Parts: sequence; C-alpha cells; structure tokens
Amino acid sequence: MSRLLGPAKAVLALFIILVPWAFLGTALSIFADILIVIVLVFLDARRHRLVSIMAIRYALRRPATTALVVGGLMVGTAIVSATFVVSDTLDNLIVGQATEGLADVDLVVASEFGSFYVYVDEGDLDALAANLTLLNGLEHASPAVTESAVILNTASGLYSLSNTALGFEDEATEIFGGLTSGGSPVDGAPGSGGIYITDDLARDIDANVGDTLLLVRGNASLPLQVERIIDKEGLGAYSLGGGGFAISATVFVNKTDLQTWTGNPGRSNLMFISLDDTTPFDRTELAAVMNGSGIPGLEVVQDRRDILEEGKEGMSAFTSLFFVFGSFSVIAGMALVLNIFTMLGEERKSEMGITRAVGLPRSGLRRLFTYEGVVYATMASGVGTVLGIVVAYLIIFSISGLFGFTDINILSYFTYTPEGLAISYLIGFAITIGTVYFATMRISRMNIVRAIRAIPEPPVPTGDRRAFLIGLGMLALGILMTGAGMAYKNLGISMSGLSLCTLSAGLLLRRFLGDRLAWNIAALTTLAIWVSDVAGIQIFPYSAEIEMLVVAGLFLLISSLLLVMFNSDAIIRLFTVIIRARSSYRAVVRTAISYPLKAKFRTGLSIFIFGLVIFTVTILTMISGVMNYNIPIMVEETSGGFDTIAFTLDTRTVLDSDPWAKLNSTDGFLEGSNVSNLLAIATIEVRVNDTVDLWNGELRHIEFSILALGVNERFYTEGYYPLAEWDTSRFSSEVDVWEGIMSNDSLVVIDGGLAGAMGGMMSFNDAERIVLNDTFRVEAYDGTYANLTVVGVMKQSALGGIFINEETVYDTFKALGPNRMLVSYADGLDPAEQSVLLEKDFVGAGLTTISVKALAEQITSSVNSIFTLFRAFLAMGLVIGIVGLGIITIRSIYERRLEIGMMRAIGFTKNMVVVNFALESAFISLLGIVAGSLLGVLVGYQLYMEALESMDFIFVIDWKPILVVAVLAFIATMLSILPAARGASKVSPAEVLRFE
Amino acid sequence: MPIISCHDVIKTYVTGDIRVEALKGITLKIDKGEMVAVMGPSGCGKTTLLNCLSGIDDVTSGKVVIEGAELTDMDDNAKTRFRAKRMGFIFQFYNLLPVLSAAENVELPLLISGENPKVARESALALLETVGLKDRAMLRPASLSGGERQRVTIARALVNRPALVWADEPTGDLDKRTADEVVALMRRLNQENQQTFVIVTHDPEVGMKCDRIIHMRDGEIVDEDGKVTTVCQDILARG
Repeated sequence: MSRLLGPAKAVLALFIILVPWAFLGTALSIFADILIVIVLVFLDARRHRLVSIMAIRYALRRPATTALVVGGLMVGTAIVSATFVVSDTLDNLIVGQATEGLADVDLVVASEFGSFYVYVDEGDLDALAANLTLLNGLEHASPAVTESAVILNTASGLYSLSNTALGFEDEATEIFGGLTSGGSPVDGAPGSGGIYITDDLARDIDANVGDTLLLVRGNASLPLQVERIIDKEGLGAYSLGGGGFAISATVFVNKTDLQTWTGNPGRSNLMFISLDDTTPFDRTELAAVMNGSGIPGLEVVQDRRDILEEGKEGMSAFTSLFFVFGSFSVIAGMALVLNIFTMLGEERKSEMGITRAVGLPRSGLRRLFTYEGVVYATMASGVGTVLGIVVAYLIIFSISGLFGFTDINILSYFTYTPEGLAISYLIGFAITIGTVYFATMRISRMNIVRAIRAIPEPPVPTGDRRAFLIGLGMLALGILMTGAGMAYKNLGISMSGLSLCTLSAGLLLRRFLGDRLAWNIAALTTLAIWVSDVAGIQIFPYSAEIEMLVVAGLFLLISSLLLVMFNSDAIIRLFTVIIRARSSYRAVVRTAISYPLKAKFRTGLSIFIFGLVIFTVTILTMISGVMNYNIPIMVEETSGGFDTIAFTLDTRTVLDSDPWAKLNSTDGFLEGSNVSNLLAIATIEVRVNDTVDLWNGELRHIEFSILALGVNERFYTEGYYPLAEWDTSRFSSEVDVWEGIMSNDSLVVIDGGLAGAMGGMMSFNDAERIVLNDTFRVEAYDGTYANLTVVGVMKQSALGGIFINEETVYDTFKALGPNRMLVSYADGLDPAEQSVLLEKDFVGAGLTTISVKALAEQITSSVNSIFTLFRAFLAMGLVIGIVGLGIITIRSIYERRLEIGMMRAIGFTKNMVVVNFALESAFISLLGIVAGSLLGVLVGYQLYMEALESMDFIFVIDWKPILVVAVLAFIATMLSILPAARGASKVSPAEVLRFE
Repeated sequence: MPIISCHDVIKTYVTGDIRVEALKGITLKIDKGEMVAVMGPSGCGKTTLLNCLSGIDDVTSGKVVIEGAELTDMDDNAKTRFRAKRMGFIFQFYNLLPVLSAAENVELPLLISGENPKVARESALALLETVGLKDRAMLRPASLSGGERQRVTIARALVNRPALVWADEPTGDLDKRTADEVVALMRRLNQENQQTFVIVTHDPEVGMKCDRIIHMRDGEIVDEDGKVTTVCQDILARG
C-alpha cells in the first residue's frame, strides 16, 4: 500500500481505516474498512486512468479465465466463512441448550456423593438460603428434592428408564423459569399424589392427564396421577446434569411426596439459586457461605457460567479442527491464485514489456495487477462468503446425525453472525490482495527487452547477491524464531524457525555448491528435522497442538518439492524407463515429462496444491483407519467377551442377589435359556480421599467419587479383561494379579481412564490420576475406609472404577447387592433384541443395557461420520488442485501453440498431442499424489505414536480409502484437462507457424 | 521423375464474410535432389504453398503428389506419419523445444518414427557433428546462438534422412555471415545426400544459391518479369 500511495498517504489511509473502529461494532468496522480500501483503490485508479482501464479490460478479456480466478479465490473464502458459520452455530447450540436446559437456574448447590445427592435437614438448608440471599447479585435460593427414577405407565405398559424427579416449593417454580401447559401458565408444583410430565415424555409412554404412573426405584414404587402435561419450555425444559443437554426426562412431583417416598421427610438434597444478571456475583463469597453452613461436602454441582464456558471450549476444540483442515484448502487456494497470476504475468509479458518500454514504471505494473486483484477479490470474497454459509449448512446437516442420541435438532440452531461473515470476507479479501501483490512483485521485475522479444528469463546466477541476502534474512529469521520458540516452549515456532534455517542453506550455499547440491542439502535436512520423531529423536521436547499438522505439512511438502525439482533429470530418466512407451510414443513421454520439470515454479505450485490436500486426506484416513480397527477391539475388551453390559441407573438400586436364577424361575420377557452366561457384580460409590504421589512426581491431595466393583474369580476366568500394566515384581501374569486381589483385601486393579490412559479421553483430570503401585485411601458413604494399593491397570475404562475383592465391597463398604451384570446370550440370538427384554424384566430397578456390538458399531459409525465430514471439507481443496491443473493445461497449450505446431509439422499425430498433455498433467498430479500420500503416511504414523499408541491401539494402514481418493483425484484431473488437450491437438500447424 | 508435383492447387481462407484466395491454381513439379527457392513479396502465398505441399495445411482443391503418394487423399494421421518419415522442416524462428537439449531436439523425429532411442541418439550426435555442433549437443536452445539454433533445426530436419526438406525463411532471423554459413550447409547436405530442398525466402542471395527460383505474386506463379503462368515455366521448358 505504501508503494501504491506513498508513505504519507499510507499513514493517512491507515488513519482512515482505524476511524470506523472508534464508532462502529466489529462487523460494521470491517465492512467499512473493506469499503474504504476499495474506495482508496478507486480514487487511486482515477488518477491512473490508463492503468485502471487496462486492469478492467484485462479482467474482462477472457471471461473463462476470470471465472477460474474468481472460482479459485472463492473457495478459500468459502472455507473460512463456512468454518466461522459452523463455529457460530455450535456456540448458538451451547448457549441455546444452556438457556433452555437450565431455565432460570444459575447455580445448583448440593452435597454430592458419587451419583447421588446427600439429604440435609431443611432447617439447615433454609438457614443457608437465608444467608445466600444476603450475597450481592444472588436473587433467589430455594431448597428442592431430586431423585432418579423409572416411570412406568401402568395402562400402556410403556416406561421411561432415565428420569429426574424434582420436588419444588410452589413459589420456586415461578422463580426458576415457570411452568406452562398448552402455553398457559401453571401455578405452583403438583399437589400430593400428582405429577407433571413433559409433552415429550407423555408421547413416549402414551400418558394422558388422569393416567396413573408408577415412579419406581429398586423395590419401591410410588403411584402418581398425571395432573398436567407441561410444555418443554421454561422450567419444564430444565435438566439437572448433562451440561444443559437433556440426558434424562424431568418430571415434577410434590416435594413432600418425594421426601416421604425416599424416606427423607423434612430433608432436601439440592439448593437452586438464581442470580441477578445486572449485578456481578462473587463465587468466592458463595464458597465462604457454604463452608460456614456446617453442611459437609457442600459444593456447586451445576453452574451455568461453567457450562457455557466448558461447552464453548469443547465446541471451539471441534471447530478448530475445521480451521486446521480448512487451512490446508485455504493455502491450496492461495497457491492457485499465485499460479494464476504468475501465468497471467507470463501471458502478458510481452505486452507488459512494451508498456514498460513506453514509460510505465514498475509501480505502474504492480498497480495494474493490484487493480485487477481488487476486482477479483471484491467479487470472489463476496460470493465465497455466501457460499460458505451454504457449505456450513451442509456440514451442520451432516453432523446433526452425531446428536442423534439426544432430541436436539441442531439445524434449528443454525446461525451466522455479521462479525463472522465480515471477518471471512476480510480474510478472503486480504488473502487475495496479498497473494496478488506478491505475484506482481515477481512479475514487475521483468527485463523489458527479454519481455518484448519473448526471450525466456535466464536462471538466477549462483552468485546472485540478492538471493544470497534473502538467504541471510531467512537464516536470521529462522534463528530468531527458533530462539523464541524455545523461550516460550512452543513447538510450532521452534520447528518452523529451525526449518527456515535449514531451507536458507539452499540460497546461501548455491554460490559455493551450485543449485542442485545446495537445494538438495536444504531439502534433505528439513525433511530430516520433521521425520526425526519417527526415528525416536525429539529435537524440541514440547507438546504439540493440532495446528502443528499444518506447519509440518507445509515444510514437508516444500522440502519434498525441492528434492523433486532439483533432481528433475534423474526423475525424467526414471520415468522414461518406467513408462516403456511403444515406439513413437517415446518422444511423447520425453516432452511430456520435460516440460513440467523445467517450469519449476509453476509445476512446483501445482504439485504443492495436490500434495497438500492428499497429505491431509491421507492423515485423516489413516487415523480413522486406526480407530476403526481398534475401537471394536477396545469395546470387546471392555465387555470382557460378554454381549451386554447392564447396570442400574442409580447405583443404590440393587438387583436380586442371583439375577440369572430370577430369569430362569419367573415368567418374564427374557427366557432364562436365552442367556448363556450371566455375571452379577456388586458395585458401590466410594470416595477417594488422600494425598498421593502423582504421576508427575508431585504430591497432591485428591478427593473424588468413584465406583468400587466387587469381583470374584468368575470375573477373570469367564471374562477377559486385559491389563495394560501390572506389578510384575509381585505377579507373573494377569491371572496372578486377579488371584492376588481375591486373596488380599488391600489390593486393587484400576481402570485405564483412572490411570490417565486413553490419552486423557476420560473425565479424570491430572489431579485425579492414580498410577500403578500408588496406595490411596477409599471411604464409603458411612465413613468406613480402606487403604488400597494399585497392582494392576486395565486397558478398558468403560466399566469405570476400581476393581476389588467382592467380599470387601460387601463387608467393608456395605454394598446391598449386585447392580451390574455382564450377560452373554445363546448363539444365534440378537444381543440388542435380548437386551431390551432384559431391561423390561428389571424395569423396576431402572436397568439399562449396552449392547457391545451395537456400541462398537455406533462409535465406529460416529468416528467415520466425523472423518468423512472432514474429508468432504478437504475435497474443496482437491477441487482447487484439479481446477489449478486445468488452468495450467489451458495456459500451457496457449503458450506453446507454436511448439505444438512444430511438433505436429515434424510428425506428432493429433492423438500424440493429446497424450502429451494428458501425460504432463498425469505426471504433475501423480507427483503430488505420491508426495502427499507418502508424507501423509509418515505424519499419520507420528500422530499415531503421539496420540493413539498410548491407548494400546494397533497401527494399521487402511490403504483402500487412500487409494480411492488418489484414483478419484487422478481421474478427475484427467477429465478436467481432456477438453483442453483435445483442443491442443486441433491446433493448425500451418496457422501457428505462419502467424505466431 | 518429380519428387513433388502439384496440379491446380487452390487455397482459400475464409474469415467471416471475407474470402482470401492465397493460392490460385498452382501447378508445378520439383525433381529429386533439386534445391529450389520460392520467392516473392510478402503475402504472395509462398509459405501457404510450402504448407500445402508439405501437408501441414489442407488445400481447398487440387492435387499434391509427393514421391508418388497423393497427399491430398491422405487423412491427417497418414499425412502426419508421412511427414515424420519423409520430410524435414526448417523454420525461421527455429521452433526448437526449449525444454530439450540440442541432441534431444534433433533425435525427436526419430523417436516419433519409432527408432530405437540409442540409435536415435547416435544419429542425432552424428548429424550435430555434421552441422558443427558436436560440442554443443547437450546444451538447451536458450544457451545457443541464433546460427547454432538454426543449425540444430537443420540437423533435426535431416535426422530421419527425409527425401525432401522444407525451409521457411531459414535465414530470416540471422545476420549475413551466419545466413551464408547456413545456406552453404544446406547446399552441401543437398549435394551430398541428394535430398530435395524447397526454401521459401525473401533473400535473393539465397535464391541465387539454389538450382532454380519459383517466383510468386498474389497466389500465382509468375515468370521473372512478373507474367502470370498457370504452369511453371520450368515444366514447359522441359516439355
């Protein structure tokens, strides 16, 4: 800009650009700035009428080329815009769900023990409420009662397993969001013997007002009459737990009924709080009041602020993947623009030379291309931004399937913000202008005589001072970045810095060693840096973020391209040998391979575009392949070989002492003979409360609830639960470990998630990690405790908890009976169908089943959906690559018409010309595909080592989808260039030799 | 026995409503081993005649026979194969492939004809030696002077031992000394190999060095005084 307008004008322009930010919001400021830039360019263009007329006429001269340019630029903007819209939609979903699912409840306070809330005298809670309402910013505090229960419609026989019954004070219903029925307000909570159910639940269990429903928990049931069917809005949409997402149906019951039914008259187990939005609320004050209440273990169990923050954080991690993968396509788009403008420059070289000769300064040339770039950028960014909204809708539509387990219609949350669109437009606009300006700098350095006479530019001499100085600058920047990266322990910056240093060797050493050797050294050392991980050498011991993938991809591809380009002679020889063309086609092979490898910059960019996209697709395919292969194994290990895992939703609800006997003896839904094996496990919620030597050597106090599973020898003899590690100094085999547990009450095996395995996928954070050989204290609800030593860590983590001797669970922790079952069915039966029957047999206990095979299929399908989505997102980059090659072919044909004429004159048939151009494109796309695939496999393996190996995932490469993508890309490329190649074959030799 | 004979060749270019008769019924014969110059003012149809006779352009009507084969009856592929085996071309601006070395450019016609690559390379190097460029064989066109490039073009034109060589302004882009060298080279090769050369040129000195000159004006063959002849005088002279 400063060159365009002069330094003083640039300062003035900068000032004008900053003005809108003082008065307008972000979106309007960005739009205003873009408008200002366009106006400034327009004003500048008015002063340079001839140049601006030339720019406009150039832009309109070849509509097909303009369409391609705009198309290429548009894709980049569309990807950015789509990512913003997806991000806005997911944010909207989180806020929307929190707004709906939390009603007007800002905080919930309770004394939590495992999955249940401890009952407290209402007098204490009333006193607490009175103290809380004195806090600034706190509007209301009201005690309530909650219990999870099964709801059974006795008339229809239909039931709902997962429900949260809430008992409120009458006035509290209004305070926390209010209830409506058919749109009309409902006053207060249900009367004694009554229940309010939501319209959703009513539909599910076919219940109507007046019907009798049974609230069932264990052996206790409470008959209630449907008093109202309430709308799912306001407090009616409230959901306790689930982070604002409804994971269970909420029903409203008379508070006293609930207290009496659970055996806690005069006691409540929750405190609902609403805050005043206009006054800041200090949570430390809340903590102080809770601590001073004398109620043990009181804590905030639900906080709207945290739910929103964590939800947005989680979604932003998801959308950042779109940014990361999208950035590959954006970079590919930039490379395409660079290629297009370089070719436009070459096409107009002679005209530009004449223009320069008659007096147009270099800045005039830059101005010419910049004006043209502004025309393209204005059009492309606008269309791209709008196209991004469409792409985002398709993405949201695709991922709506991932939310299938809830009743959320994610499409209804589809939204976009002016800020997001404005930023997308700005990024698209800036990328275009920046790339165009970079391309014009190269073009404007033309030699006038050479340009006019169409003499090719000579190679940059090895002693070129400018190249050497650029190399020095690169080296300095590299050193600076490496230092900065090390200072901030940032892997991306330090590795980029080091790579710049190694790449600068190409520019610095060429004057001493020549181009080929210097660039080979630069490329090989850069490659070595990035693949050192595979050889077990970690240059910088810092953790890697997902964004590293982009940096790694860029440097790996650049260095591979340098290797290809500076060893072109060897590659030509190799290909000529490989492609043993029959007789006359040898000449075709020779010319077809020679042309691309001589036009290094253009070919390099094309291979780069292809390679970059295939690189990412390969990585995604590899990771999804590893996951697809290993998830069923992981699920199988979790099940221990059983078909179904069954458990009561409330751990305090127990099953019959011998559930299999019950199935055999009673006339239920599931035939006892259908079950081939059944293992009942007693579990109980316990609390880990100790100071432990953590995995990182730090001593830390840990306190959290966990499930203790009592196992007997059938558990490890009839099932198989592999251990990831165990105390080998004491036990020689996995069976030894389990036998050790049977004989020693103080030994425990923990699940993989608790030990921090599974790559941190489980909910336990660092502070809650326990590792092999740790000894920690475990307390039961009644205060009984035991000190347990970890002697084994399981691979699985889905069963969740610590595995101890069955007798300890019963005797020490006072478990009441089994509440978990591992079931196998007779051969030929569908586990999913049988599981439903099993649930029905134990509906009173709220038994829920997980069919292992169905779960594995569901997880694999979800993983595949996500990866397919990302691949589809990347396909846009592939389109750029194919379009790019199409453009190159068209340009090559145009530029080489004379040579084509000569070739035809000396004996190339039309078919040979077509084959020649097809081979050229095939060669470029193949190089890109091969380079991208190989580097993708390499980085994919590194990713596996980083993230999946610790989960004991086996490394596999699923070549089929990689090959499918490669072959499809190749075929699409061939099809895209075929019309142009056929056009080339129709070039009349007489005409071109005569007139050109 | 003429190597080239054409009868009443007409070539008309049609651009929209405009029709330009570039060749108006040319009839001529050229014998094997002859070196013939085609001369005339710009736009008289010299290059069009060369293009039509060599088969790189189609005639509107008339008959062209080369070595007894009727070119006008052949389809494009047959003509192309015929060119590859029996003809060589020399252009004013050399038209070498910039991405190939001198040797690779020269061997290209042989490779097109299906020659063994090793043999093709040997032939190319031998011809480059003949044209005095043995030491420059591995250089690309950008590293060669104008005269050197034209000698590479001559080598490429002769490498498949064609019966006839078409040259379109072969000295048009060269200085006088280099032009003399190139014409002398063509003459030497013509005499040594008995290959027929048809040279389109503006340069009277080039014409002087040929066996005969065909004068053209406005798409017709004329005598030296500018008188139109429907049949080349030489044919008449020979009876």
